[in-house]
Amino acid sequence: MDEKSRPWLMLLPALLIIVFLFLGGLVFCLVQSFNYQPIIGSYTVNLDAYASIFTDKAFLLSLVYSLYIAFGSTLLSIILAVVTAMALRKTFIGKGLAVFTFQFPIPIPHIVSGVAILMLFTQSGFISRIFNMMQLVDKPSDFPELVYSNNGVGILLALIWKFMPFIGISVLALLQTTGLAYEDQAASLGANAWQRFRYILLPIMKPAILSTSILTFAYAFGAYELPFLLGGVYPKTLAIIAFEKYNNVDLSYRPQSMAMSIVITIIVVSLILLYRKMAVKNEVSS
Amino acid sequence: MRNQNINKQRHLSRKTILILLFIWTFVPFIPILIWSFSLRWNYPSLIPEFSLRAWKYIFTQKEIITSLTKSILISSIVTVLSLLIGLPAARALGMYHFKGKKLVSLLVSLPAIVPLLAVAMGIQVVFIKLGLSNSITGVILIHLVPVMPYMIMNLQSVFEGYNPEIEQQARVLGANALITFCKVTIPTILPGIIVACLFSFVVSWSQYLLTLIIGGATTKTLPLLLFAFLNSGDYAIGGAVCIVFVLPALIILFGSSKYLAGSKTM
Amino acid sequence: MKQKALVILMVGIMFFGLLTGCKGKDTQPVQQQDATDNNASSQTDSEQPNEVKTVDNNWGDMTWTEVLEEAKGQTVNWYMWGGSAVINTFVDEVIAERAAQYGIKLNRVGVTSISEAITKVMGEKTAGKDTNGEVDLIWINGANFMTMKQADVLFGPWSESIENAVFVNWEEPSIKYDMGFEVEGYESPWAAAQMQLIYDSQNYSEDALPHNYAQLLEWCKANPGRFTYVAAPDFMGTRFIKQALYELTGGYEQYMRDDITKEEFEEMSQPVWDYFNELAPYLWREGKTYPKSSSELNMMFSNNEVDYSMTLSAGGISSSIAAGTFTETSKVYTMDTSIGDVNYVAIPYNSSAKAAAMVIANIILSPATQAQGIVDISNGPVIDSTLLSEKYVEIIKAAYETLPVGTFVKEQDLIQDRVPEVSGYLNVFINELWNEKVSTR
Repeated sequence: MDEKSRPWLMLLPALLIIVFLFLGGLVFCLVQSFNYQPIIGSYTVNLDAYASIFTDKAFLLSLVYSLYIAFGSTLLSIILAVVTAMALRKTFIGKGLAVFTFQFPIPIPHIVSGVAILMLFTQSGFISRIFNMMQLVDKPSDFPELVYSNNGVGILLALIWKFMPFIGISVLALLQTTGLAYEDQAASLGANAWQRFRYILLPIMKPAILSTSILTFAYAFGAYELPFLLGGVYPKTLAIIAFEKYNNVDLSYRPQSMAMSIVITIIVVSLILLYRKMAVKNEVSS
Repeated sequence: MRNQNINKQRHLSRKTILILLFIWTFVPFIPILIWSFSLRWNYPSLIPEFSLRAWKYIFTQKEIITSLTKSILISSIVTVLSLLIGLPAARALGMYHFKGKKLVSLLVSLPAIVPLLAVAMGIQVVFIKLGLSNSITGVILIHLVPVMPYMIMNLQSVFEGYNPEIEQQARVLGANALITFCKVTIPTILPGIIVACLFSFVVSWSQYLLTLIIGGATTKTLPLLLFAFLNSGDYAIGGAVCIVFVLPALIILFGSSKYLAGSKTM
Repeated sequence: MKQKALVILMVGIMFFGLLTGCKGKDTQPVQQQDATDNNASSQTDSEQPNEVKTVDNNWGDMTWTEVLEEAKGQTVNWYMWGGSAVINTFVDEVIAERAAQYGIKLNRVGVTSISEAITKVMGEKTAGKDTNGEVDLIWINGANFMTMKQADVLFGPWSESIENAVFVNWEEPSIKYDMGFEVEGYESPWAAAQMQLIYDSQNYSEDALPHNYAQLLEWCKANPGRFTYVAAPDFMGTRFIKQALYELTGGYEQYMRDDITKEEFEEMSQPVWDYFNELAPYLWREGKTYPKSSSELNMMFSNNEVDYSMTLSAGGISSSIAAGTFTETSKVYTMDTSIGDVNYVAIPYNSSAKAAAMVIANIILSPATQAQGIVDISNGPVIDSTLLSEKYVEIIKAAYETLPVGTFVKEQDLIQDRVPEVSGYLNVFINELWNEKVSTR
């Protein structure tokens, strides 16, 4: 009895926090999304909020936009992370400094990344001025619209600055251990560089890539700070329009903001469950 | 000969990548630094009109000191609490096998991954009723939601690689539970704890939206202050606040770099 | 000089008396102010205790002396927009110091959007927190004020009875009505606002610039990509569009009703949306996107991405130039239709520092603070110079004289172009319709 319940006792405080704060918060959000707002005396329960957001063009556009930001930043980060990790995996002079540089952005808060991109990549930003000095552009409007634009490039850049090392360091760790051993073997068996990469290293990197990119996707999808700082008027990410509705002094908009947040949560949780299924399948197959 | 050429190519491409990496990583900090020393820095100048206005504001205005203190206080308390709650939980997950472990593991990891917008919005009503809204206590509680699971996941891998036999050996040699814990367990897992604490601190330190929703404007942590100045277009003070904001992260980075090199977890 | 002052005073008294009709008590304070004037220093606002006045409020009769007494030792949490370093410094230093002289601790709480403070008070009310509210004073106006007043979360009436209220012309429409909503003593004036366009005198002279919306369209056609305006629902954008509404649909008077529906408004405002859609291709980025806030527009202006920015500070832009926001050659001017109104401070019903909050509002209205506001933060004064003694009139005049020429619009010019902001409830429609018809073209 004691041994069986021991781990549960050790987990108890943590589980209490998760149940009461995390699950509790979600439940309260869900309830309020069903229009149940004692605050303004609304005791009804209905799906009006969901109906109204799914027929709202702005919401649907934001949904697509958020998916674009999440996929785009994650995909590009994966590519850059793999390329860089591949370049760093062997021993060479200055590797210590290189790895230090690589992992530098990891503890830096996202907002700082946003501030940097803001100061660098606006049409009158630092990079644009350098281009101006090099006579590549004449005036601010000649520089491409990266920040405050509806292509979201500024947001992607800021996210990539943070995501690439996050994914890359995990990948690098695998390459340096498991990867090197198999790589040497494959080389001695006559496999060329591309074959080694495609058939040996890539599968080895896959678990690290998958596990980290789920985290980056989830963060990018529900992000508020960076899109708010760097985004344009239209479209906005889901978190931004949800929070805007939440802050409306007209409290009848609250259920919609709650509904939007629930949608964000459901999408991310579904992806996590999907990933876990895939991860299990991978384990079984390898 | 062919091998030599290939190697030369590889070296060159690696060098290029490293240089690009170096630029990409560190150049972003240059304009932030320059802005903090500007009065006016308009296009197309690469050098601003110099002024210490922003730094004067940082060092003389009480709102900056208050914000900094609040951020340090909140993040420290959150880290310590997360450690106390998370350590036993991580040990349970890392060293025990029990029915339902998979589910618990999933549940524990969720708050660190899922965007917490819904949680903060949902729980705000309750916090208001309990008087926790707009208080440091409320902010600490909401920070625990993403930080504690993060701490547990970090510590879990430490425990997964931990061999309980050293503890058994100590007991055999006559040490009681407390001494075993203090003199055997802790020193062994200390590096892992330090890394976990440092990163957990940063997670709390960086929170914006959660603090904004629960804490409102009364609990003005540094991120909230930073946002206010950036939004109003004051890049000089914004830049200076940003530098103050990033300092702890940098200290943590340099301080933990020796631990990080071998660490596999984030 | 003394005769001139006396004449002004007498005219002021008559004017005031005429406006307030039979309200005997209102004529008294002006004479009393004269009496205390000789004793009061120009630095502080301390008035002599021989003045006995009842504060017309809903918590019983209290003299101003008693209010001052009650305020001692109280802390006021003043919630206001925190994005301006100069305003922050002004409140933290100038106003807080004066508050300290009354034994009051002023705690400025900066917010990104004042709706944060409003939802806080509303939340407290629904949670039944009727005393010890978080918010003691709030910088507010317009629709936000109406929301709070209608939700019964404001303390009042109080503002017309505080000591320095005598310096305010309460019957002036821009003071009596806050964007069309009757103030009725529930908020006290803080600063005057009027929309002005900012330009760089290095590149243009004022004559070459458009002074109405028709001229603006022509100017943009001749100079494509050099003008833009802030997107609604940012306040600067809404106001710019509303000015166009007045000019293009025949004036503001037709909107002074409180029963216009969105459908009716859509019809009435159609010329405006047609105008802005016609204007769009000649704007910055061909009108495909707009700056989200006035600070974004300010940055674009300073970086020469566009030729104009906008401000609401009735005192101009000298303090912004000093803070580095604009170049030193920047100047302001008003268009022929320029909305002017007033910002206020209000007190939530559940504040437990109401007395101290009223004293802060009082400090704000003192001529010394109003004058310093002109210099430090380009505030437009809300006190009426016809209600001031000569000494105070001089203080205000001296403040204006410190401002560089061209960085502010003279009072008479402001008045000439000024139109009121009426029917603030229409602003919601403006924001929605602009987003539907113009920005998402």
